[in-house]
Amino acid sequence: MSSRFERAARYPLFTLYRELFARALKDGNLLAPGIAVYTGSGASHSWIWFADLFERLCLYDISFLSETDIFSGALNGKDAFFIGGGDTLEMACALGGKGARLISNFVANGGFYYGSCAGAYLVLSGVDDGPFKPFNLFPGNMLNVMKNPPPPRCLQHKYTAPYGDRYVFHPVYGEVVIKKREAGKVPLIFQISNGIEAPLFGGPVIDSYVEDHVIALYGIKRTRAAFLWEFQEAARFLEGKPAVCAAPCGSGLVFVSGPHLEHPLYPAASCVIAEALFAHLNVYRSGCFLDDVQFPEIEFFSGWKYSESVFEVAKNLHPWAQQPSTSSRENNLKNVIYSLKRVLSNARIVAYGLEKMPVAWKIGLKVWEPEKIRMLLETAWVRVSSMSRRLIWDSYTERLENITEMYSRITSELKNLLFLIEKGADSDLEVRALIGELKKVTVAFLSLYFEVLKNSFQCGLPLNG
Amino acid sequence: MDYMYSGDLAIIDLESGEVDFREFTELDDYGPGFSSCLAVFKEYEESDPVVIGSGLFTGTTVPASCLGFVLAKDSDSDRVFTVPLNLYAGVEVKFSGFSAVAIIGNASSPVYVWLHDGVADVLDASNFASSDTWNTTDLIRSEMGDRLVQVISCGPFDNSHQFPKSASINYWGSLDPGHVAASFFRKNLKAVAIRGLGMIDAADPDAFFSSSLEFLKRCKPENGFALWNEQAAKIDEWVMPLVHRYRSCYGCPMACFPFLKYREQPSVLSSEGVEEPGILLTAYHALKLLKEKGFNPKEAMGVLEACLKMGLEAIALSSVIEPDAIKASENIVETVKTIQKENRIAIAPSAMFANWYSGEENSAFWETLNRAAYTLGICPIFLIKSGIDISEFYRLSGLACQTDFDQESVDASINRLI
Ligand code: SF4
Repeated sequence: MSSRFERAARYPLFTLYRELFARALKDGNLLAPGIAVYTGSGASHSWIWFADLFERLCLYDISFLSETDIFSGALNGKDAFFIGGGDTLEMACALGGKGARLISNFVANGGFYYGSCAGAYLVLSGVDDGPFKPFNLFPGNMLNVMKNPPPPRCLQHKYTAPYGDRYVFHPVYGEVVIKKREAGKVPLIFQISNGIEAPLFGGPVIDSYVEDHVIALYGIKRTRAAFLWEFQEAARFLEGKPAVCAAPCGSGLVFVSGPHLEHPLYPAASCVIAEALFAHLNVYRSGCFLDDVQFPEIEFFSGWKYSESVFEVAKNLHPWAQQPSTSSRENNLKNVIYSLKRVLSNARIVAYGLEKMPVAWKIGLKVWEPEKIRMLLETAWVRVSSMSRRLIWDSYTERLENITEMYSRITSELKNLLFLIEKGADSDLEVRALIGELKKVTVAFLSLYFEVLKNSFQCGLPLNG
Repeated sequence: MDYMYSGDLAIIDLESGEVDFREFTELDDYGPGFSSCLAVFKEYEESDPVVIGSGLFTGTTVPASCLGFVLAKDSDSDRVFTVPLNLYAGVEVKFSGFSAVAIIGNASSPVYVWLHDGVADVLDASNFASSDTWNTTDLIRSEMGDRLVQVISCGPFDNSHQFPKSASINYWGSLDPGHVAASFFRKNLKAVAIRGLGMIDAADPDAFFSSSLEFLKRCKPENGFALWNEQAAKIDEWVMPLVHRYRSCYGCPMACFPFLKYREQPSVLSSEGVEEPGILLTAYHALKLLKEKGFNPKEAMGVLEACLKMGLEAIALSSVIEPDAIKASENIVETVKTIQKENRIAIAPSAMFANWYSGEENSAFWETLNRAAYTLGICPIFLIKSGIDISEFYRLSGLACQTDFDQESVDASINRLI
């Protein structure tokens, strides 16, 4: 039974953007962007969804950055910067004024900023309490804040986060609808559907100071979401309010979204990001969507179907190359990969064991459940086999061995955590350390992985997927 | 076969400690489940293989698709013998990342095999070679960090080979009359632990899913050994006062196995905190003997628990133990150990498939039924009791793997090999 992820990756419109970026990578006429993803302090596990997004889009020039990397100039030369979910306060404190300035300069000089959830709160100009003040890229505020939110019906631990003397609150947790706005620039996806689903995990309801900056509005539905308020109340609050917005900033573009448009199970939502990124980098540089652009060679739509020519272009872009023959060096690499598989499998089995425990941890303002640990492990697990098919250079051996060693330590830490939980002992410190390590090794793995993809593609191996 | 199995055939050589992988082409040559694994068994016959496999539907939405199996040498005849992996063990085999596993050769010191997500590890078991099956299961699960790890193990390595031993599935009995445990001992193989988080594909997943659910709707749930035969039904009645609950295998609407609490109040649902409150009965045959000898149910449970822990074949032990020995005993495990040392018993003659239904070892009916069961991965008891004709289950094979199997084609494949 093919996984939901695989099916999502085959979403038709998404494959169109994929072909566009693949084309960019292939012939260099269009820009294949250099992308940075924030994985530093305050980032939750959700940044791994960007890895899925970019891989599906054939975007292989990816750097995963901590605040320290940003301070040392890692945004220089990048075209786009992505911040996903997490603990906004911890992010703001970690990045500080210096980080804020570097991000502002990056955007002013033509960069594309995408922030979802915490990444969106962070840059709203109206969110200016204490450490948030220097981050003011998008002219707007959050609407989901009040002094005394009513008590929730469920998910108490996800409901609020303190903000000065008020509370940021979340009346719905789960799948929402993002709906087309009647005026202004409209993403192509809304030519197919007036409303598309996307997951809202505590992101902002946006108060955009400029109406034209609004791209999509919230709608809610009764299924696949937890209602912390009564449905009618939640609907009254959320329906028709801005969910996704974008504003030019210098020569760049700031794109903010309450829902996680990048979530890999919501390819229709991800099309909005793909289009905005492609259009910004290749069409306007400060504009947004493709709806009024005529491409000279590619006809995008013929009604609901793509024109034949798009598929022909796509087919001819990437001829399958022959795999190089086996040698002893490759056998050595095979062993290294097998060891990595072994430790990863061991780690995820313990992580599954943890998931059966009635436990969650609060790290800063963010709640971490055991499944988030496994999701970080899965990020590497699902890629090991495809990486092994592309590893034709033994220069990667040492890095792979280091990564294997790191995962092996993670397995021991997970077992220790399990032991502590079974004993009923406090495990907050251990889990904090574990998550830190896990983020580091996931970054190390993904960095290597995207490098392998890029190199193998340039050597003529076929694209992933 | 592009569907319903994932991963290679792993060949684990305990002598060299090396693991080899190759495409499991036998699936296409001989068909799914038993026959393809039998072909592997034949191929490695000289190396005393233990082959672990699963049926076509094992681990899917088909009701009672719990069945995996272990093939080992019949210690008497050198022919193949098949022990079912029911409860949840067969399902883990299916998702282990291997289509099948062959363990060949003998290790020079005690080892255990850890199968997980397409990785096969041969690990040292010296420090728990003398442990009982319960401790072995606990140790391995704690080492791997997951209570769902399925452990097929044998009792303490103690060099006493004159009494039939029986492999366990986790803490409970496996219906092994002695052949699998004997193979494990020959190989210095303390246990095989399995856990997989893999996935399998059906050729037409939606149609397969809805058809299999239709089967489920047609089944009438029943409890207890009464499902097996009339003799077994009497055992149900005998142990009834100790029954805490009934347990089923993966995906089965029936629930054959009673969990008997004899150290806690069986009528109370929650646990009173006793560490080992009772046992899960996975067969009734030994109990029948103990009942006939005048044991009361609690004493009988004590004997069976000792057999489970020590990995002893319970029917053999029941045939030589007397109620007085238990009444006078302070420590039943020690008493059972002594009885085992003092008696020399051969493994009971066996046909190709462990018989747990009728007690008639060579029944042609049982053999045909088991050929189907181990091909499809569906429990043979369920095949009898569901009221659904086996041919209907065979018809699902097209949706599952784009190849239609029937009893004739399965028999033809198996007959090519035996
Ligand atoms: S019928 Fe009994 S033995 Fe067979 S699968 Fe169901 S519960 Fe298990």
